[in-house]
Amino acid sequence: MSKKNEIHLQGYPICPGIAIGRPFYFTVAEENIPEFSVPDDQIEKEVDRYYSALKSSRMDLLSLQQRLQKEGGNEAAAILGSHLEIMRDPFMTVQMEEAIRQKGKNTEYVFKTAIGEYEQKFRKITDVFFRERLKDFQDISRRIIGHLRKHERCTLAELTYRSIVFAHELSPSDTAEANTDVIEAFVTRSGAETSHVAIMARAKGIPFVSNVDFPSLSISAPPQVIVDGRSGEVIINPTEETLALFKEEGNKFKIHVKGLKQSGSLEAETVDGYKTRLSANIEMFNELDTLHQYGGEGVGLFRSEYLFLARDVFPSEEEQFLVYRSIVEKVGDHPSVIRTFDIGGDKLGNFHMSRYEKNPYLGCRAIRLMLKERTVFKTQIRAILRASAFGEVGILFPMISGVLELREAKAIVEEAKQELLEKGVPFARNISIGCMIEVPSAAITCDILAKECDFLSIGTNDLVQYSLAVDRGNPAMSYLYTPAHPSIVRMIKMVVDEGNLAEKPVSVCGEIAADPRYTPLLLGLGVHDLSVSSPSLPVVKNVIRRISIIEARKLAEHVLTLSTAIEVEEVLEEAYRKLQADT
Amino acid sequence: MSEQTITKKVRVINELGLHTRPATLIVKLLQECKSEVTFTCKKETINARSILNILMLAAQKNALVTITVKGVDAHETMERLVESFESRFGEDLTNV
Repeated sequence: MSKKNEIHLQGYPICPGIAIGRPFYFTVAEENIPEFSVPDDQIEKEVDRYYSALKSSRMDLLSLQQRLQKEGGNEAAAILGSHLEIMRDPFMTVQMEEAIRQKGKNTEYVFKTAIGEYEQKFRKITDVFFRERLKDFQDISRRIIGHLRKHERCTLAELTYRSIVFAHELSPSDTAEANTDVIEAFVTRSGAETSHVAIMARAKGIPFVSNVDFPSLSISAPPQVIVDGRSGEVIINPTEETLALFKEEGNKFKIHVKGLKQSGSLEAETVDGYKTRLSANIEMFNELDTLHQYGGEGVGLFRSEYLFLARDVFPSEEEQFLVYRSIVEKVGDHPSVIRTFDIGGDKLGNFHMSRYEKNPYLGCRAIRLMLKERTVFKTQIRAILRASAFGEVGILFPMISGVLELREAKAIVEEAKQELLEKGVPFARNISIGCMIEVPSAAITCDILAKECDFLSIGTNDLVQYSLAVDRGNPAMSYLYTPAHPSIVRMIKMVVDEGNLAEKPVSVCGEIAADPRYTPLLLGLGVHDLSVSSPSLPVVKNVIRRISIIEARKLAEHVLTLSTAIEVEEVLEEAYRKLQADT
Repeated sequence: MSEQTITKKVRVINELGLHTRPATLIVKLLQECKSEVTFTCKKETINARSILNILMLAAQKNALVTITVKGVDAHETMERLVESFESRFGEDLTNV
């Protein structure tokens, strides 16, 4: 390895911003390890369990090593050789066995404690290079713990100050648990534009670059990494000059964002007086604090499933009610739209259901699952209804594919209302009910849906995925994933027109709503209502305040005549560039 | 042959010090030896048959390590250890 070789990696920019920090390689979990006593006659079993986890870990490494040797990664293979040796270390073998016998506790706990003690000693080493070696040790212990606790997931809670998270991919629960105050940026190998991490990163304004092919081993972890979420560049081992350059760029970017934020108190209105409602997509409860500051008018989409993701237990009615009520109260005069759980069966512990789903995106999830799990569903509906006594609330059903699902879901709302009435619990009788339009069949039959609900909300992320038959998480296919496809533009137009005809409000809440290049098009298509992640609010508002609705309509008319996504993108880019040049 | 104890001070001369790879080499080397081996560095003494212990010494370049070998093959063991220290644990100079 050369002494100071800057390495430039290129990925897809997901969330803008510049971060400089230490890399954190996210692998497997070791948090929340339970502690319990093991009776004497069971101790041998615990010891066996330890050795078999150790054996499985060795097997992992051996096969990985073989593969690396074949691919010519000798340096990396040698490192794995060290890892294999460490697994034979007395500390990892006889001492651990002895500790399990002596303490009479479960293996995971004993192991974790021993590891913790070692790490603590290690942390006292002042030399940075040596302290970095702890990563080897952590890699190994994570792997072993991973084998001991096959069913547990790992967490990002252990992050320290100024971490840049490198991961193959991040699940929603990983990110939900992350201590975002210390995360400077995300870098992932896979995961395209609209993954949940992207949503969260945007919500928190954390720079994020995906599809980066970063070196696979954390062994030579560089002390510093630069992530530019605007260009998608990741720089490992930056030189002093590069660092200085990006520090300055970072400051400029912060000033730019600050300037935008000051528009928070202004109306989201075009130069010729066309008023729009700009509201926020919310996952985390604490995002509400920034909502007003960014100038959001209410919550256009509360992704309620995030209540789950950080934990495994289903939240009780009371717990949900308290969260929903706080949202409603914090939002004040503006409405809050709460979307019912958009989850797959696995989240409810229904492993029998999820396990056989070859393709969960086309399977039993969201409203389909809720209509099967009626107790869970009704509990949530009751909690939302109760919150409606404290301010304006809308209930939004995800993944509706036809009017029968809507009718069934509405029947459950009626049942819940009846139950509350009988108990004398207050709620808003006229609570509005909305349909997500994210399945093409719903978009095509939106006139039917509009007759039987109070509002429609276009979720472009899934709509694009289902319409173009592209898995948004598959990097090889993500070139096809674009909301600029004429089919999507036409569908939005269709839904907006039908909504207007039925006098039912239509909002757009996918990532397209947060992308300032699309703002003029959406307004031109007749959208009044946009819901975006809080940090995107100022940027979108800024665009709205600079365009005229007449221009926007002309743009939309033109875009509707185009044949390919590339043409659409070009026209939108061009219009956006012009808009920026004008100011 | 009888058991004997010998002690020798060696200097770490490889660029990165006693990091994971040199530690692995030492432990592997000792697997073929019978003697008890300890390293002392910055007043800390450890059993040299453990990579994790060696790493804990955080012995950087130019650090002085006292090697103590006790056993029937003490001389041979010491010789081999000193040799690996002196050969920079096989680290290619252009590759540090």
